[in-house]
Amino acid sequence: MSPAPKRRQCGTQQAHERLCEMYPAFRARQNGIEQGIRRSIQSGQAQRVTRQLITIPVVVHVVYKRDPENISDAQVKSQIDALNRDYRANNSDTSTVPDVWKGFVTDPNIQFALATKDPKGKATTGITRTKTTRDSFGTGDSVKRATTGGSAAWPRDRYLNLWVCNLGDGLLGYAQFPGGPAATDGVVILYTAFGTMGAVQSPFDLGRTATHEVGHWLNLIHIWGDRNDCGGTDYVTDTPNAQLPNYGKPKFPHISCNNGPNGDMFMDYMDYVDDAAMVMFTAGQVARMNATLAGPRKKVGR
Amino acid sequence: MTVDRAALQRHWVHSHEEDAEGEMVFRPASYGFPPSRGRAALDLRADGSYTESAPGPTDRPESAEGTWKLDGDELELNAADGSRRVLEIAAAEGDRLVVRR
Repeated sequence: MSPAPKRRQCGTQQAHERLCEMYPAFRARQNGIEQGIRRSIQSGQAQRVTRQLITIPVVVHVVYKRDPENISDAQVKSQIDALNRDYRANNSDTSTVPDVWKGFVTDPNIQFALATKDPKGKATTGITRTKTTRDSFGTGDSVKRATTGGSAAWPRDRYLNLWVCNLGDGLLGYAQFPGGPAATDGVVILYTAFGTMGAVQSPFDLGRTATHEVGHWLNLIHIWGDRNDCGGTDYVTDTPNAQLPNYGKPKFPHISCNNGPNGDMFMDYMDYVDDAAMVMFTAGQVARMNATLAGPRKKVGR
Repeated sequence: MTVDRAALQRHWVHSHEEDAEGEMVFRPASYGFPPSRGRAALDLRADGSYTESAPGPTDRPESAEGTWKLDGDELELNAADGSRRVLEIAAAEGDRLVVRR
């Protein structure tokens, strides 16, 4: 299958080329990274990475205006715990995976821990708290700069940056793929969709928004391939071809793109379903993550 | 079916919770949407221009611009990059727009 350019449609029938054109630099970086991933998987380098557990130091930047946005240490820790379950396939809700796909559930062998040393080597809790005058933040990365009311990133070769704030426009979170600028590297999550207690609100109260966004940070693509037709790809062969994102709590099977009888793998973390409905990564996705940790993110946690 | 052009001229956001098989439902941007992973949107303006947006590969919304026109129940979108597509309108009344996939 030829690698189709990745872009997202407005839920309509035909390709929208201009969206692809908006991301030429991204596409060029992705082409380089995709070639690296193929070499890494073929040479076995990606598999060698899986044999050792990798623990990624995390800095959580809490950026708040009002008190509820200043989430507690306990809520922060609940998110780290949720990531640690999901990234060892230790989440109990893998029991909800349809029988036909139970064997596809794969342990990424990745863990996360709040940083204990800051970039200057001083002791830290791994949580920074920044008071801001901004009512909310957008996707222009204003939360990642002190000059725009946010908090600056720590070096991405040593830390995963997680920003938690009042993200606006109804968004739950967004990420940056590997290969982007260092100053904005990491993941941003809405404070009511972060962790499993405190300010969280159903149905985004199991910490899965971070699981999904960190998946992008490790170079995973949306499972429907970012197009609203059957021509998109997530560059992973063990996920079914699917037309559109699935939302909410779909009923199995949901068929699209002639992928019957089992249909879309909507219970995968890289679809758009509610937290309780996304429960797994596949072996192909784990191989991509390993290639990222052997390639563009080879220093973090090592 | 003839669609009223004035009824189409709004900032519509995908209310995916209401979709039926083969149809997409849109509500005005001011509608009380529950929280959701990214929603597509289509802003059809009176001057014949439009902006559409949808979640991108890293969940940031991406948008594109163009011009639109209505022919019977067909909404034609001509994007600034030269691409063109046609949406079949099933219903456009007040605060509800239904488009056939």
